[in-house]
Amino acid sequence: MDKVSFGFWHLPLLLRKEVIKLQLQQKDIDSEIQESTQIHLNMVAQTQDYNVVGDRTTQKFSDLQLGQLLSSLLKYGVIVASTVVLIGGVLYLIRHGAEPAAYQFFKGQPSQFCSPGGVVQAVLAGSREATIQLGLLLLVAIPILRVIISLLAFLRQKDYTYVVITSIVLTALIYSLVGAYY
Amino acid sequence: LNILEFSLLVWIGSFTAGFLGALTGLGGGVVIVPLLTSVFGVDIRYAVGASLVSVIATSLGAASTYIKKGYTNLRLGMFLEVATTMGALIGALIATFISAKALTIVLAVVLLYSAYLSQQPKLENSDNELSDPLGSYLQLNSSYPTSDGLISYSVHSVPVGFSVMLVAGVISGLLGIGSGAFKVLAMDQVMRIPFKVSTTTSNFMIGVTAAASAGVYLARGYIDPGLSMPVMLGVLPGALLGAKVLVGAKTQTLRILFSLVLVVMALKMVYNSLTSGAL
Repeated sequence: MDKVSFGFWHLPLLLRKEVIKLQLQQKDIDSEIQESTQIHLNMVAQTQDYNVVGDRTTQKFSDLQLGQLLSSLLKYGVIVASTVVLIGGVLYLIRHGAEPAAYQFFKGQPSQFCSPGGVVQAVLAGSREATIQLGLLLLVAIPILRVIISLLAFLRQKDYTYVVITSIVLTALIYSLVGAYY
Repeated sequence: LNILEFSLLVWIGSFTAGFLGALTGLGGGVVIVPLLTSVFGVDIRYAVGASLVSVIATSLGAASTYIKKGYTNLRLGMFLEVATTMGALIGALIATFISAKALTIVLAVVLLYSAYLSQQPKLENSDNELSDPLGSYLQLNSSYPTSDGLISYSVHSVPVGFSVMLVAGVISGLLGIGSGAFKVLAMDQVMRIPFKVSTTTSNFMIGVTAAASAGVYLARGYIDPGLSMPVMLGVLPGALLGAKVLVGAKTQTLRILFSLVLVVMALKMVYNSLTSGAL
């Protein structure tokens, strides 16, 4: 077990780096994710080799590794997303804090706040509200990333039933983010 | 009331909601929407959007710990997510053309039902007989750690549980709450999974379920950054603190109290929407 946990020392750092990259380069999102997941999966594979002599079956062991990986992803993902929201929120309150609050009537949001691409553009244009919105988007991206990582892990395990199951979930998630605009 | 004062008040309210929600196991989301609408007078669609975001944050934060401790059944969660994400998409789409009044009534009913469910005794299922063949095929049977070591359990009535999850997903997408109460109902009562496993697995699933409706909400302009910010930043630390305090706390009285608050808020929401006549 010692060797196993050693292999995972690097994970949090890696994940954090990836998430920050994500926030900077939204356009490369897919390749980034695949790259980072590939790294993690290689690590999973490596640690798996160490454990062949152990008493656990390979199958169980992979699930355990997947759990560890997801656990770190969730933890650091939430930290990064809330930090972005906090920074945006403080900046927003400094500039708009004295204006009257008006949430009684529904007006919807300006169109650039309603899509991931629009939010990134608004952030680059210096909008403080958009920084909050970006943090919220990062938060929504974490569960999606979680499903992608699980999908790749099941592919590696050659567990095709779960490959299909996670693919369905992923399709629904992507549809909700992309399909809702049409 | 300027934005700074408003944000501070909402932050305090959200922190309290997150704290009590975690202590009682009902989740903060269930009380955020009525709090924002009936106390702060926020339009229900903004309230639902902000609540959904805070639900994602708390669920992810808590799930991280539960997975590490080995309570969460990952395969079961991922399988049932098929039902909840489909349901959430349907729910979020319904929410965009249903009237605010109808939405309020549905929410009130769900609040009352959640309050009722939270008063039900918790079952600690752990029998090993009569496992569902579908459950075995999907490798859903597993084990979880207790003070007496690992205890294995098997999953029952997978199709029925799956259907209840679909309903839980619709409610979650419609109202921007985690609808953890319904998820636990499906796993506890129908699939007969140990309570610790069902609550933690439900928590694991909420992030993905809510993310499915978040996309739709974002596109419709329900997610307001100015409002979501204090809600999310309040609920998250509140819930984490609540989860820490929970160990060894006497929750029975609190649970009853919190349920009463839910009932009062539900009635007030219905009263408001019936008397206002607008929308």
